[in-house]
Amino acid sequence: MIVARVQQSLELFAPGKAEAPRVAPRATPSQAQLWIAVTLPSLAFECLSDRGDSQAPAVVVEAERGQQHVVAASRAAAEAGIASGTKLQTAMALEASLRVFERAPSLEQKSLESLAAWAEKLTPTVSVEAPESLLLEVAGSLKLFGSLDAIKAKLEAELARRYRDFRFCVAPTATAALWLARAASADVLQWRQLAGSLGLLPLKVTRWPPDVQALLWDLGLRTVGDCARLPRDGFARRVGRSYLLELDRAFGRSVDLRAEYKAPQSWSSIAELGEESVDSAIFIEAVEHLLDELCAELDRRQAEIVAIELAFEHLHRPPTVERFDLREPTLDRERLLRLIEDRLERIVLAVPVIALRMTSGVFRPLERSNADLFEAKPHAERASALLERLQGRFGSSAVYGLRTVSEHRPEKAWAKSPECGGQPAERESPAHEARPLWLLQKPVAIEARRDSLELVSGPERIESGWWDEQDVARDYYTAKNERGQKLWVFRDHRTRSWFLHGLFG
Amino acid sequence: MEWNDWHAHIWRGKAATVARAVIPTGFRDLDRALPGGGWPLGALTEILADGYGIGELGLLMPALAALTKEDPAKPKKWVAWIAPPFIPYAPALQQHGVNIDRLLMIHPTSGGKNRLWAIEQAVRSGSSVGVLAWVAAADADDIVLRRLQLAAEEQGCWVLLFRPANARLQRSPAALRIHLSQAQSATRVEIIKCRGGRPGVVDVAGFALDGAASQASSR
Repeated sequence: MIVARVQQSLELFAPGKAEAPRVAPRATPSQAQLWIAVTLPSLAFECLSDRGDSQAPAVVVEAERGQQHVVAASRAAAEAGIASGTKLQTAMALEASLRVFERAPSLEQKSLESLAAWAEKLTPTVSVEAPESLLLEVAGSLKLFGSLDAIKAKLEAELARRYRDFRFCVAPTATAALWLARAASADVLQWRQLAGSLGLLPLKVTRWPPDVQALLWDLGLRTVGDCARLPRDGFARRVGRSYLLELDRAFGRSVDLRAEYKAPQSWSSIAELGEESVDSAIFIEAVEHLLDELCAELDRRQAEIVAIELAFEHLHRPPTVERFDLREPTLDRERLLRLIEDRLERIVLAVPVIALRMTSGVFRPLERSNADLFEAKPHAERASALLERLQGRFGSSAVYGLRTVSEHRPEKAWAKSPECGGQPAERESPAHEARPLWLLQKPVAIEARRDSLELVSGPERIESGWWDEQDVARDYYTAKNERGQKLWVFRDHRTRSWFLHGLFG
Repeated sequence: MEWNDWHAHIWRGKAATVARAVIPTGFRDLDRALPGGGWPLGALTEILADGYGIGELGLLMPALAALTKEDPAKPKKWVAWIAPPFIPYAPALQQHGVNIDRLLMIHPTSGGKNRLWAIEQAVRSGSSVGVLAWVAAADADDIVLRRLQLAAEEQGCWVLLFRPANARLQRSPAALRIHLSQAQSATRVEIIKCRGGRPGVVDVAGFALDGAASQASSR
């Protein structure tokens, strides 16, 4: 009945408008949208971490034109008759033991963003509607989750976990969903029901400025439907074009674009220690806590990281920053923890620490390769994890592979390979003469002990390097000393002196 | 048994009479003296010697060449060298047929604790097929060695500890303990203790100065 009446009025209303198209059913499948609006009436209160006993009456207030107004109230306060918009003085009169908190918009925003980041599990189209709402477009996710009810069930479970006071509502347009949620209306799944349901909503769900609402009230308009029934050009002229546009959006007569929430591409969080400390056990506890957060975030975002920064914050000095580089992307909490633990064992902090801040490197999309099937990847991961741990503890230059270099000078015929055998090195042709398995870091003068050496084979003349001014001219011999050690010695051509350069280990 | 046929589960916790996974040493006399005919894999081997340059590495080269051989069917595993006293010389290792891509050099910050930590990491990671480590006598006591022995068993890793000769007096859970000394042109291998075998002395000749490369490449 009512539906029919409103639609009829819309039809009557339509010919009067010049710029907007006639009301048309537009729910063609290709452009069908389904929005869920989540609204958190007590967010201003619930986002406060130090709000204390939930049974006690408490309110969050905000100053407006010199007057303190209640923004959100605890359940006990609500039972005492305190509602959003009540003046603080009135509230105090109603409930003497009232606890009063300042509003913290940044905490509200953070709480919403955290929810938005979670909601990206359900749909890529999430938008934050400050101060207390979230919009999700879920038409594209229906197939994935099977049904709208399945999505709603997931959403409800998460909301119940996070908040005490929440509502959500489904509608074909974003604005309609938001308004319906504010009014705690039933879901609207069909286009033809939209106008009817919206029409019944009181004007305050629009959150239009008080003077606009007062004007409409004076005109005798009580519901959204009353406004929609007015001639469009008259409404635009007397109330404002932007409000007409908002009505159009709600009724689906105009495109309703929302800024999509894009979760940040890195992550940072801080763990306060409460008091200054140098105890690494306390640090580890904080690190574990931070890693829990980080890994939950990585899991939610289906991302991996290749670097972490841990800043030890001091009271009166710039923070001590430790950086951890991973050899390959990971989201493995244990691996990150071991890496940090190893480093914590080593580092010495000059001053006590008051807080730990962990900052992740850039998130990378998770890559799952089929290699898992053949166990090749887990092995490569284990190998990388070993390198990370060793390099994390001893420094990256303390762990390396070997390669040969095509060079005649023995000390230059090998090199460290920082890749640790990542790629097979090209084969150099080995020297013809036998080389010792041990090479000394630097040749050692053995002039004094020359007589006790028995030369077994040689000489092998090596003359090379004139181009880089580190040229050598040496005769190499295999020698044996009185203890039976087999040595690789040479006589320098220019100085005629003897050196030990290697051992046949 | 082929060296790569071992599997940790075959022999874990069994008595010494059960056939163990071994890798041939590449020296006939030494293979005969060792139970199973080679170095015990998945176990701790202690090599006690004073001084270097007495063929202590040459003794291992044929086995290392076999262990590092490229095999597409097997995951790539390292042979980790922990705290070597000198530079393991890559051209010489290649002459002995060792695939140097599989070698990993680790230089722990000084201190016995760091070394043992590195050894344990390398063994436990499951990504090392062999670990060669140089430790002082005082650094490794019975308890530490027992832990390494267990880790080696779990991961099927060939763990070699080079220690000074005075470590001989310490108790050790190692599956094999040998003492090296120089005897004429040969390296004398004295088997001090050998699980499932008998002590004895073997002279291993001719690899340090000339024969090593040919021995290794013939395998």
